[in-house]
Amino acid sequence: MTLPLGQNLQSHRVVAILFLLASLSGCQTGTDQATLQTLSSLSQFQLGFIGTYTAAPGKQWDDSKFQSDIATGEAMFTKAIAGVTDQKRKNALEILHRQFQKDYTFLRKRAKEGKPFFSVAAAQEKKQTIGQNYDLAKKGELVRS
Amino acid sequence: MSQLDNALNQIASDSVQDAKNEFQQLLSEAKGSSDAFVKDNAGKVENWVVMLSNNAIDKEEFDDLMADQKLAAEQFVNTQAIGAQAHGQHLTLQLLDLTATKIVPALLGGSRADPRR
Repeated sequence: MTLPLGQNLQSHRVVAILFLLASLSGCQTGTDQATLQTLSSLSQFQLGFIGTYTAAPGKQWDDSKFQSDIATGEAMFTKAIAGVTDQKRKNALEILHRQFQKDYTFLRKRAKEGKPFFSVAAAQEKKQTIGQNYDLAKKGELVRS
Repeated sequence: MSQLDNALNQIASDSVQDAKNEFQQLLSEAKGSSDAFVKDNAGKVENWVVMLSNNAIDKEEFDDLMADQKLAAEQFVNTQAIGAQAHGQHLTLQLLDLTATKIVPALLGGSRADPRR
């Protein structure tokens, strides 16, 4: 069916406006609820990782679980960072990723030296600082609104 | 006398006296900051120096905590507007660097005072 010229132009205009609106919502300005949700998931994982690898009476080092947990975390960060073009949002995620990489590198080194796990005292301090790092990243996301 | 004073008094060497004074001055300035992150950073650094001096954590753990804090400082800067970040960032990094390069090596090095004296 062919639309009259005026109606055709009108429908193109509507499509263009819809496309523009979709582009604007896709361009990463303002608070992104999906990023906030991602930060919450990553925070839960990363603080849980510290807890899992904190010394406790009778706790044994399980290297295959350790490798598997690293792979899980790496996959989460790769997915979180993929496609992020906003520079501040990307920086925030990359800082948190470096934190995770630093933690498992530290644990790997200590395990090789026969001193596996974070001590309880160090883990308590780490959890506070990592929690603060996530709070700052979320704050950075919220101030965009 | 505070636990930090006790820890710093273990450093006997006169050669780091200036660094000790600068450290206490920076700590005091940071604790008085109106910025919660800068203030919190000072409290953590003080606590970790005391923990290290009491052997509650070892040197590797201390370095790891300081590296965590540097990443948090990077995140802090990433959340700030350009104009707002300069002073807080400078004070925070200055305190972390002085602690890592002067205070802790002196605390752990041969310049510790004999606690029995």
